[in-house]
Amino acid sequence: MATIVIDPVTRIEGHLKVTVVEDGTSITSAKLSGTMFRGFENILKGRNPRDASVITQRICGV
Amino acid sequence: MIRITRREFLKYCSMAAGALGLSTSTLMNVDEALALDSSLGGVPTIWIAGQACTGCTMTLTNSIYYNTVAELLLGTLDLKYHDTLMAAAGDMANDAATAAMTTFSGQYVLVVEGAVSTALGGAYCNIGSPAGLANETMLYNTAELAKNAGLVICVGQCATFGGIPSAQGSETGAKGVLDALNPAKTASSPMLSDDWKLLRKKLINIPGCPPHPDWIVGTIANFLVTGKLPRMDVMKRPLSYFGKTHCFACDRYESQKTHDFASQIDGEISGESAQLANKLKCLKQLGCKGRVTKTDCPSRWWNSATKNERGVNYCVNAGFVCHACTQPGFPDAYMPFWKLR
Repeated sequence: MATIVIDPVTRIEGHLKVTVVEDGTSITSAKLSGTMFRGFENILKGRNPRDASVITQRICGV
Repeated sequence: MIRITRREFLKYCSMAAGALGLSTSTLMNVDEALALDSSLGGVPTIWIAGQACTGCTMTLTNSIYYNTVAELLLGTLDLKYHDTLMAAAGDMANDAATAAMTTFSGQYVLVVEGAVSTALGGAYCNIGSPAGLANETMLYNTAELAKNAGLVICVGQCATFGGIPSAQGSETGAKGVLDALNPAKTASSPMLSDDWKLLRKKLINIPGCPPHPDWIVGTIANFLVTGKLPRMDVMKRPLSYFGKTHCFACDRYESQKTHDFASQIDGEISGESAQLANKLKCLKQLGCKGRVTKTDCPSRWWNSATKNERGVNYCVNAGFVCHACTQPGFPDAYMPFWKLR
């Protein structure tokens, strides 16, 4: 059993981690983790609806 | 990546440096500095991103007429690490950054994009281990890389003052780099007070959401030529770009003096001539924050298609209000961004 970790995965927007477990012949487990959290839903709570357009456009700049 | 010649890059530098008030003779030094640096392989640069949207990287790579991005990033800056642009991934990427940090200790440029999460010891943002630490959080990596850097440039509103990720309601304890690493303000900061004081002396804040590419490249060109930090305000913003308020150069300012305010944003008005007339009316009563916002957007504009001319458009010309995206306290202190009159 060997675990292969790729962290960071590059050439993407944001942060991603890949964890793969293999037993020599096949892959037994593969996991993807988004390793960054901002919580836009929480930030938007209770705000003026018109401001949502300004805030949500900052989710991704690519 | 679009290839553009070195000549075009130099022309761009002249323009950016011109805005900083550098003379023609110092401009010759840009050429020399670039020639010198490319013979040495460029200024080693590590670019890390925390709670970011990568918009700051995009603004730099999107600057149409300048766009020797390949030249700037690989020739002039010798980018050792940038998780959106580099080819290597995983351990290879981390090792490249760690090697650069060790080899060029005290000389490399650290560019930070995105806020630094401080809650739960920084657990809301893991970026791998470019600093070679077992701890993968943005908080620890930033502290380690910043401690060894020769110059730290915080690019964008998130890295400077916290920006949108630090807005009210956020649970992640997002802060700008200076605040996040300040042990007096952040209990979880891994940095010692003395290290933070040294960091403050080698740090430049370039706010904006996103910042104008001229601000980023101009600051770097200025540093290459003079070897010194530019004149800055107390919030570490270069005065050449953030020294005056938005209203100072705004096309609509005349109507503010005569109290002829716009009652609607341009887009809501029907008829071309009525829209054009509205373009000259001050948007203050619709919530424009131009009176307090320090920026040169109204004279610079955005998305330039030709050299030495102002860009194609920007927020206020497009009929939207200035929402203070270069000011500390954005967004909470400037909400609601716009309102009906």
